Amino acid sequence: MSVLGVLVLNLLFLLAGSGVLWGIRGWETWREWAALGGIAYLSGLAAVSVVATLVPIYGGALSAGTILALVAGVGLAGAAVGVVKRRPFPTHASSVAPTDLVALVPVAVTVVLLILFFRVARIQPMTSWDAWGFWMTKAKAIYYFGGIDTSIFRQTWPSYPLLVPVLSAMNFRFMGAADTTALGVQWWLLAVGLVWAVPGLLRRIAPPRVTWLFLALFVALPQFDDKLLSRTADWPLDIFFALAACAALAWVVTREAWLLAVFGLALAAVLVTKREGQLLAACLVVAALVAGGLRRRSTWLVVPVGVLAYLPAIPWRIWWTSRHLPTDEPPGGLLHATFSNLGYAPKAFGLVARLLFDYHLWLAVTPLAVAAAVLCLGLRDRRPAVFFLVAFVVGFVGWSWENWSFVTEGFPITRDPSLNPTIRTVASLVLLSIVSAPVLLGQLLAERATVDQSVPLANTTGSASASATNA
Amino acid sequence: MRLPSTFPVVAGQVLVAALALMLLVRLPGAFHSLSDAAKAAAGRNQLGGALATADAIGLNDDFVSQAFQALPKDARYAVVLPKDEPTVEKADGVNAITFEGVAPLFGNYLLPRRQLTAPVAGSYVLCFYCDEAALGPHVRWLTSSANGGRIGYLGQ
Repeated sequence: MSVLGVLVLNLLFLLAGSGVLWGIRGWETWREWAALGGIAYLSGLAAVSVVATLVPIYGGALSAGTILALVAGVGLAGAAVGVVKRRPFPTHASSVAPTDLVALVPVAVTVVLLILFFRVARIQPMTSWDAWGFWMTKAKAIYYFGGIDTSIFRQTWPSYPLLVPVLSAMNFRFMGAADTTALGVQWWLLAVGLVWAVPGLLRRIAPPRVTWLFLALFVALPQFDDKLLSRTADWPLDIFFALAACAALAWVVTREAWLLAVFGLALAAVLVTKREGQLLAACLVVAALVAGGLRRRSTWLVVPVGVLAYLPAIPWRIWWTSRHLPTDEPPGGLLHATFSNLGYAPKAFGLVARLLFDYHLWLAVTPLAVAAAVLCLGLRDRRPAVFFLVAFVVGFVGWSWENWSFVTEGFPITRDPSLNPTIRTVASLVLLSIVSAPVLLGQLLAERATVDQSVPLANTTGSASASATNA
Repeated sequence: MRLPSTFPVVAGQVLVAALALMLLVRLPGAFHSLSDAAKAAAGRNQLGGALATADAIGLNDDFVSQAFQALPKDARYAVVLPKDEPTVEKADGVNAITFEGVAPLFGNYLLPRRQLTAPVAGSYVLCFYCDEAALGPHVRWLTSSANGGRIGYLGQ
């Protein structure tokens, strides 16, 4: 019964997101809807959840009626834009889609692993310290007491934003119980959503068979089931970040305006999931600016989109700071700690590098992406490589900075996951590698077409790899 | 400077081959790990999760089970710890992490029961190696001590 509630809620997210995507781009065919459905699902989930965080902040209760109103509001807002913009309704495709038999192999592997993973997600109880220590305590408090109970939130890291507690509380409402075990299915669905969304976002700029190889690797990562089932905010943050990165990269290459809207929605979700989202948002905005070309006026659109995405995070900041709830900033403030603890920087960089490049945790996904990006710097179109490398370097420095500026006796620079969260935070850069690498490898492989044809590839859809994919 | 025209293609093919190989090598481990995780989780319920968590931080299972049974859903309770935790850690072999985790663990798993910072009249007491005498004569003990854990009710 609980799992059914999770599934129904997520079906509503898909419906709301389908309305949003219809508004920002339209649907040509039902086949296209199926191809882009993952983007619709995650966009709907992000939009509804971001708006839902405002409900308890302003004293409202997340009742079933409120949740349905939020879903309808988001979906209908998208549909209204669609009507104004005269977007097309989906029709049946007149031709049969070509099937890439080679790509079906990693697709099958991914699907089988996800099914196996569902068996675990459905029944594995919550045991992660951060989950029972504060994330799920907040979620249950919102569910049971109808809003934000200050006596509980004061004790449970109040500076962390609300998306995960609110998303969980909405699930509890649809389950009819605060079943944290069945909630694992919501985390599983986030992974499914990303696996469904990435091929849609990359379909014009990366070869499907390479994209699916990376997605198969994503669900086979040694840390995948361990981290994804922890019911903490780390993996949702990484998944929203990966979606935002994917949309930003596709926009940098193709300049299709709807991608910027997806980027904005995902970025808003990143910013209300964890405080660290600010760092990840900065990574993507800077990377899109540098890769898109600072001299192109349209490139600067990412800045107002970033600012708009930050707006929903402000009410929560006002809420907890106005009540003088405790923050966990280092003594003397962040700026002071950044310089006074500078001696710890080498150790911090070393820790991030060791955890990020640890084969037993993440296989060799990141080194492979970095190698591909470096090689792509020698090609004519450097935008994907520059985007990836800038985002990666800013993220790498950022996670290292977090280590050295927050270092204390209780937060040492160590691999021990019970004392230091870096083993979780570096996952964002692993996911960045997974969604960027197919584009980079696609570019390298597309050079074959350049050599064979002996003419420069057209850049109409954005990149050489796009042309190769469509060839 | 531009790379030789065939170099990127060959490099790309090598990287894709490495990617495919990495996946092939990893697959058996991934299948086993997910199957093992499913078997380990089978049959556990909400209390099972709480007990697994209690085990992880070194808290006695009986104490957690009794708390679930003894406290009504609308109860208020306080977790009371010893004043001198280091001494108890040495004398009774309790880990510091157990003391650190006991209040947040109950704070989550016992919801919607409300946790108080200190016991008041009409609330329950989850005493974990606490000084029972210091709580006064109005506490009615509902359970016997289970590895340092005992549940009581503070009357009016």
